[in-house]
Amino acid sequence: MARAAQNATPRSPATEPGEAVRAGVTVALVAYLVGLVLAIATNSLSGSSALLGTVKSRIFSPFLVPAWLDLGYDHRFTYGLDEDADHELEIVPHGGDGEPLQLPGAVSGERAARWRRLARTIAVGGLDGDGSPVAAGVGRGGFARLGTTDVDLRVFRLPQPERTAVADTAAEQVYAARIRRVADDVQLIREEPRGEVAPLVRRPSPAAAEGSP
Amino acid sequence: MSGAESAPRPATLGDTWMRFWFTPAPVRPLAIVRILTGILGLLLAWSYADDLQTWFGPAGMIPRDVAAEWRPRFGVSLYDAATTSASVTAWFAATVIAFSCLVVGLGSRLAAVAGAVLWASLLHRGPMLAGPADDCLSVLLWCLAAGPCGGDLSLDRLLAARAGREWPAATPWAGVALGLLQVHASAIALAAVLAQLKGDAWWNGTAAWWLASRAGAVDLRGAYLGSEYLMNLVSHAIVAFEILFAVGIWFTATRQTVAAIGLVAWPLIGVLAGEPLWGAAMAIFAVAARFPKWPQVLK
Repeated sequence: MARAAQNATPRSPATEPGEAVRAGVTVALVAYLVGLVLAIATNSLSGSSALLGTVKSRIFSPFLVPAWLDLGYDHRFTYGLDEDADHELEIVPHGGDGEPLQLPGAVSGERAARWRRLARTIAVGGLDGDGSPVAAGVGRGGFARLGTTDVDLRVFRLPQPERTAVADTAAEQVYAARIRRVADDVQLIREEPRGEVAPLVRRPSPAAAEGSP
Repeated sequence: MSGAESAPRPATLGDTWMRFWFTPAPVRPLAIVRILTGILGLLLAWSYADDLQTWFGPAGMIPRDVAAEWRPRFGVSLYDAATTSASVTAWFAATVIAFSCLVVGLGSRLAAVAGAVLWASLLHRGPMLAGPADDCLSVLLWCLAAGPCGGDLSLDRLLAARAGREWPAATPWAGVALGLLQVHASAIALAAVLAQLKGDAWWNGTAAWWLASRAGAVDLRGAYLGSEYLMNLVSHAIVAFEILFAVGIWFTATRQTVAAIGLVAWPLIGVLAGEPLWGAAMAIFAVAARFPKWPQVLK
């Protein structure tokens, strides 16, 4: 009890900030809160208006971005779209010989989630472009681990079956590239999906064929 | 004295602003947030530890030029100066030390600032690896830096007491820090709801199914196959709670109840969504909102 009473003894009074300090803090708070609103408004998946984007990037980004506070907090988690499925990486020596490097492999938790985000970035890209520069870097990092300077990198999208049609389906390959070092340069040769390089041409119907000259 | 003369002057916007931000608030809630944030920081740092050199080492998979190209304008990282394995490890060790100092409350405010700077640097070094929990940790660290987070439950207080100095039990700066935590708690929940409601899955109640399909989430697909209503209920409950939290923490009558529910609901949502550390981070925001900010609790 005595100890409790001792702990309860009043401590030194708080120092009240003066008017000038409060005014300064108010200005800083207002500036930050405006920046917070603009960060949320401009980092949305719907995109940003030119006006808000320009105001934010000129006035607020110089202090929000370095502090990792230029964030939209748009944590949707899923829309049930293909791109919301889990992604995984595979790096193999070019030609297929050798043990593949599968990532995240057997690891779990947040560590595995970081590998999946990396794989997804390669497959889906970011706001400013595709993920090939990231793929080149990842492939380059795989050289030492696989003991070669020529690798194939693939990203697989894991199946995400619908509730009404649960079935065992295979992972889908959504990105593939060959990454190799030639002299001091790293080259990335992307393997385009077959459908993109050779679009299907509809066979003309017999009637149309007959009517044609 | 007439009733008209004794009637209090209606509070202006300025009065409300001053009362919200500058009324002295107890430091204990901030100290609890500090300890929990330090633990969360250590857990998130742990997820980098094993792959640190694989990602950021001299021959790592995320070369500095790729990271620099990927991060937004004005993004900088202390790790850009790390050209050897040892220097990458040194920066990372400094981050872990800062989080450890937050847990025990040693040089707490400095540790919060150092932790925030080092954490932002780590995220800028590999922006494509960052997830929602990382974002929340960054916010928590900056909010802690705004207030006397070492004023209670800390080595700082113990050392000060030995030196014959005492920390105030409540300060206006604790009020500023707790106010920032409250604003962010509401903003993050609201932004999440707005993002979710752009997708059909959150309207037609199938979002819980897709969440359960993700690695790291609790697989409740068996239960959802048995009951479509359960799947719909879980989907809608997540959205409803996020709205309740974003709004409810602003009203005196509901604030503590909503925050108390948040202590359970956020971790649960995190587990269901496959983002348990994000759920934990949101629960830390709820901890801050759980404690009344106003000075009467000290009496």
